Amino acid sequence: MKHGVRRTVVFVTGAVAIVLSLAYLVYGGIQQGATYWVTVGELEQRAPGTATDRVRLGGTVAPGTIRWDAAHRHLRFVVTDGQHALPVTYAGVVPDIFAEGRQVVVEGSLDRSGTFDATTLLAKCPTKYNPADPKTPQ
Amino acid sequence: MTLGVALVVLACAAAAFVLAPLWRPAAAPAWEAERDRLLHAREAAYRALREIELDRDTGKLDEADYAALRARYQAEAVAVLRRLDALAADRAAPAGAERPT
Amino acid sequence: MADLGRFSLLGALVLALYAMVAAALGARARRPEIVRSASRALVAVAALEGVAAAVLWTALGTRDYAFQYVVSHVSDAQPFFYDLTSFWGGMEGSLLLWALLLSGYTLLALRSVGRQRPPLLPGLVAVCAGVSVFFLFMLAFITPPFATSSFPPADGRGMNPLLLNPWMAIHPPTLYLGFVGLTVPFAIVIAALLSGPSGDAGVLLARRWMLWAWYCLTMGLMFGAKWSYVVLGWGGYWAWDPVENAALMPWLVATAFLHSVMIQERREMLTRWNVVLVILAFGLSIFGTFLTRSGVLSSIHSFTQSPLGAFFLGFLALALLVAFGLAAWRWDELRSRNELDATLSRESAFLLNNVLFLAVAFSVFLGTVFPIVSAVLTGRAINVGPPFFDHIVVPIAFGLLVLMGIGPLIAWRRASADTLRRNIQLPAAAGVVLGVVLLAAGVRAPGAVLAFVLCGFVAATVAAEGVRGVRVRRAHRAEGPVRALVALVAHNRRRYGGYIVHLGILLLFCGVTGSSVFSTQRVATLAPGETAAVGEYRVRFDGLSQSTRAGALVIAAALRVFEGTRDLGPFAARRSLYLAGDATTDVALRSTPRDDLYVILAGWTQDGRATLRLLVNPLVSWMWAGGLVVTLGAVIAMIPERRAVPEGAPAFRGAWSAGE
Repeated sequence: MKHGVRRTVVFVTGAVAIVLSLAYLVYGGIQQGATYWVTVGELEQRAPGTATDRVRLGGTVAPGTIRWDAAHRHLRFVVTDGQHALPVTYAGVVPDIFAEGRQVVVEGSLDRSGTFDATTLLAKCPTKYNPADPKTPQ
Repeated sequence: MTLGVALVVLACAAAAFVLAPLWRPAAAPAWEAERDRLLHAREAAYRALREIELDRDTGKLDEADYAALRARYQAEAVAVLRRLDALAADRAAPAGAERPT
Repeated sequence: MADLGRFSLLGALVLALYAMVAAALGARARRPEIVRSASRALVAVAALEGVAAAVLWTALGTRDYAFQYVVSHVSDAQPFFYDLTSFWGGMEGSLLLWALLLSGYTLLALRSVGRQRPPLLPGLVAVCAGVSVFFLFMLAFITPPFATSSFPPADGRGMNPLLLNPWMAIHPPTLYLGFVGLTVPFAIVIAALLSGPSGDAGVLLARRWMLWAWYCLTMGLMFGAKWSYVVLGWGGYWAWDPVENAALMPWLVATAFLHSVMIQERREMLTRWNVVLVILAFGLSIFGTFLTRSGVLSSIHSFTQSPLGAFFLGFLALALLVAFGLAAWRWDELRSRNELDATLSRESAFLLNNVLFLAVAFSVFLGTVFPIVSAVLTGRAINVGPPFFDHIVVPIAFGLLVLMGIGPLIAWRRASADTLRRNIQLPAAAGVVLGVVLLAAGVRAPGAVLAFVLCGFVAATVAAEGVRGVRVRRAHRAEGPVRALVALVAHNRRRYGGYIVHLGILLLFCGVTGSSVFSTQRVATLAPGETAAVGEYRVRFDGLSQSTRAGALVIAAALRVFEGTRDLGPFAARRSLYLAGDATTDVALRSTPRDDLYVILAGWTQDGRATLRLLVNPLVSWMWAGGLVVTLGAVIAMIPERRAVPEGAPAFRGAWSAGE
């Protein structure tokens, strides 16, 4: 009986240890990797001159707004959700699917001048179902 | 028109195929099925015997545990083998009974 | 022809419904002929789905633009091969592929289970029919593949050119073989739970099917990673994307199962746990396909509003409710026959293995659905990116690596710490030596050194197991060491197949470590004749050229690679620009066992300068080699037994002679 009790204690302790370790890892992971989703409208309505933390933004590339500087690999475009629009700059790898009218997700922060400084650019295929989501993280 | 005819033919064929067993009385399960099942059970017991022997030889199983497991798996194997023999005897017997004495 | 397709699917749906009901009734009324009729109905379902598939393939192959599906996925300029593989390139076609594979698996399972465990047949028919009913319902009413238009266009749109790649052609069917393959173990276990108290709840019978589905998932994941690496051109192979995670989660659960099932086999323990794992694996496969199709996670403001997601969630909820309900009903009967005897035992090591795999699966799940969960709980949607997953998965992976090494060294029931210590010494020493060598060679990243040390340790334990087994064999018979090794593996296929799979995983681990930690990158804009240095290489840009291919404008950068003074030859990085505005990248890839030189043409200027992104990714080819080794191990483990009699077992008294 004592042997059984001891064994139960060991296993319960082990289980608690594992759960706590996992919780600790999850908490740390959230600290490291979490970003808020925002809308174009929310950012546009911010008081001008205020910057934000890292956020994630979804929208469409407004037609006629793509400016690509090949020499400096600098991309500028305007992202819109149909009603509001926001200028974006990005200096990384541009996914192949990126084009006017395509849906994009950008991650970055709004700078003082009201431009969204993107560090990550993900583009989504316009078809309803794509077996793999082509993406290009930074 | 031809499509309609094709579909009707297809539907009838499918219905016939699917519903046919309902009119045939259930045959006794074929002895092959039972034999295959027993052969699989035999293989499982033999494989287990091999594995515990390897475990014992490589030090993963101590003698007492090995003996206990070996007894268990051998008993399983013997039971399966007895059933296989009985199955074979059943197969032989009816044929024998049909011969005029 | 579209009507033929539509009616075939409708007919299949009706027959699948019949099969489900008839199997249930036949089992209830104990009338095997009704169950046989139900089985036949499933055969007819397979045939009708085949007809529908033939219709779709014919339409794709002949470029019949009356079909909307063909218009979306085929174009005159597209190579014929991809016209055919576009069958699974879209929503409707991929659902039809799912249904077709399910029927194929069902027929094989009916035959196999009918032979090995006839009492499970009615339940198997009912469950497989039930799942087929759902997919056929979706195909008949929600996402029909045979929609036509009265004014067919002259040319189709074609698939996104990123999908025009052999890896992408083979990746969905392989992955589906895995996803759909998880349905059979699920059906077997449910059938066992339904058919009354049965010792092992069908788990041991389901094991082989799980192994196959696991293998297909492994290959599907690797093909996807390879595609991402070679085609998407961002230099990586895994981004913790929801779609990738959707395939990883069932793989993790299946891997856990393959280990815990050994405990059930040897000690008749953990039956309940294994039942839960099988149900979970199936549930995750449905959840995975739901994630991929419903678009619910691409953005919190979902880009694709479709009722599709609701149907999948409804089906998933129903299936899980029924499955766990049945498990709860039979819970007492599934009680373990034995108990865990000691804290240090193979059972507890496997249990820890399972806990760790499930911890990873849970964390991946949490990270994947985080936006939804956080939106519900806090009102704001929060996304968690790769750092979240890396932060959690990497430490747990290290733990699993350690277990992979010491697991095989621990005995069943109760292991003595002394024996373990003795058996660990040599492999641990090997690991330490490797560590010293790496440090001496200048490798400084502590995480990477630890990873390589552990891999060396595990490899040494596998080698030690091989040596021990060979020694045992040679003690009993005169055999050369090589012959003994071959015979050892041949006679213990499951065990040594598993060890070989472990070796493959080690290679994968090394590849991931090398390319994650030691990768170097450079971006340079070069005029013709200029050189950029990256890692040990120098790449000289020799000029841009333009050409057309398959309806696309191809811009190529001619390059030449040097290492030190050695000229390693020319290679080219290309970008293809399609009329519809799409673009694809052809990576200039030079793979050696040591590293990959990976160059992308990122852009160019009017005056002929090219912007190149250059990466050196060490050890990437080890990953693909690992995939091959895993295949070898899995194949060995899956070879069925010959009907040989081992010595020491009771002799089989000739059963086919006239009895005694």
